[in-house]
Amino acid sequence: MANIAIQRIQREFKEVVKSEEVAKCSIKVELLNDSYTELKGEIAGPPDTPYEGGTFILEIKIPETYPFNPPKVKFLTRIWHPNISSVTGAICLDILKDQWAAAMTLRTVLLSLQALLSAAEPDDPQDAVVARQYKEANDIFKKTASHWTNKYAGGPNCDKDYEDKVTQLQSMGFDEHKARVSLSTCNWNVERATENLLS
Amino acid sequence: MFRALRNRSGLQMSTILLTVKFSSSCSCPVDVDLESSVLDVKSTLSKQLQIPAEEIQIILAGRILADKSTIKDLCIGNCSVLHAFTQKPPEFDVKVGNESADGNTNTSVRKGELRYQYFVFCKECQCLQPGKLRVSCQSCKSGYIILYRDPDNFDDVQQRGRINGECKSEQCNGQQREVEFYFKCTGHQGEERETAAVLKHVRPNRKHRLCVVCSETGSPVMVFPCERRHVICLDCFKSYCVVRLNDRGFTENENVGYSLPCPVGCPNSLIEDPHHFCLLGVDQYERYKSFATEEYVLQNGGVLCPAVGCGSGFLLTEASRKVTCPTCQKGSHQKDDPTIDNYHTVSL
Ligand SMILES: [Zn+2]
Ligand SMILES: [Zn+2]
Ligand SMILES: [Zn+2]
Ligand SMILES: [Zn+2]
Ligand SMILES: [Zn+2]
Repeated sequence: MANIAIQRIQREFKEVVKSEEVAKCSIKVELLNDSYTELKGEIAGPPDTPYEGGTFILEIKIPETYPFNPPKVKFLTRIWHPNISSVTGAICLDILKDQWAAAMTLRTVLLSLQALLSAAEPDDPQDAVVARQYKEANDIFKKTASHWTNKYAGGPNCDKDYEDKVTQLQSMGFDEHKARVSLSTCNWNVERATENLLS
Repeated sequence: MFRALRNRSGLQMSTILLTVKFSSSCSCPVDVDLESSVLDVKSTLSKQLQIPAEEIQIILAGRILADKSTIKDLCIGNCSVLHAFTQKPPEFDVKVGNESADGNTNTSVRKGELRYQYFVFCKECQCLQPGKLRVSCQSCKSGYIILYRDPDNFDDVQQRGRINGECKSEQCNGQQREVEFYFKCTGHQGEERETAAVLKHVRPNRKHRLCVVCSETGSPVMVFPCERRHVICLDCFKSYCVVRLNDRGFTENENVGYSLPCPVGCPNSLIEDPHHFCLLGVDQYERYKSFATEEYVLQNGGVLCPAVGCGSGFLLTEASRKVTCPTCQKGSHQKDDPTIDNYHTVSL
């Protein structure tokens, strides 16, 4: 990797490690190899959001052309959010695309992602299904996001009703995760979710 | 500077040869010690020319030199040319050049000005070099001109007509004249009128500002014309340009050409002079130029030759619906290259 990129990541890594946010356990970053090309990020779900109490793992890949081009970041932890794909974890965030600037750092990226969890932008969605639910059935969206946080990110809020519905579909032979996706997509209507799975 | 003062054996010389021109027909070579003063030079000239030293005034870069300044202070290299004129002391007009004849007060300003405040890209040295500002008369092109005021900023130097002076050449005979500024490389010994492209965004990093990319505080640096005057070191600048060249990320702008903005993404921050891209080195600069041409041609409704390995761009006019690629026709492709024929049948 180019010298500038390595030099930058080394410094940014230290910046995160020394940051206040790390002291408060709200962000974290780990090196995955000696060449500084792959890192693991971690952000805590922000308070007063459906993501509160969850820990979200991020894959961070540093391109050769860093910091002139943004790092490639995606969620490894499954998450229900209008700007993050529930399937691939791909993120729709301007600073990770055309609004990236060479003065931004790993810390600003992690904090921006945390901010994104606090304030979704449903009009610029990555996941159209989630975005529609966010706008049209916001209560269901919040409960779904909270349920996903509980199931995949270690969040504390267990939703008995949703659990039962997933178990119901599982007993019909469907895969747990697929059942959950289908129910989430169909606003937790079991019949439609079943049809959706069969089609 | 020191390179200019070394002789062939690499030893530093303590004396240099200056040429002092009084008129087109009268110039005097003078051997001077680096430690000697302008007054010493005047007395040498006085002996050679049989004129009293008090009557000699020497001009460098638009200013009358103070008697006390030493050659070292002036930062002039071996074989430099200075201009001079003679004037009887009682008649000497103190207003000239806004300073008295021994202009002591301005010596410090001059030092700053001549010491690395400007940077040039020197074609001869093929690299960035400290530059020196030089001045000539717009009318007779000579260096006998004395500035009414010193330039305060880049616009004073780059835009015509902002600074005038009094020209002491035979031709101009003390008339007010427009001043022309140009820059010379301090890294090699060039011809008297040889100029180098000044790089207006390259500045000494006196305040130790951090490079926005690597946070180093080296000097000199590129300062972008954005509101916050972001700074990038020259290494990072090169990498930035190459990355953007590779993904064709330059912007074609009608005022400044094919350019790049501040890497922080500030508005109105495009590099204003393409000469800065010379810093990328010959190969990358060639790439830059060909991309720039292509972009210009495409933006202005032109076409690129589809022949393999050609790719030259040219503009089409209504009158020339069918054209032959000017480059290929010169023989870089065979005339029966099918791709060119195809191209010829394409009309506007
Ligand atoms: Zn040079
Ligand atoms: Zn003149
Ligand atoms: Zn730098
Ligand atoms: Zn800027
Ligand atoms: Zn051609």
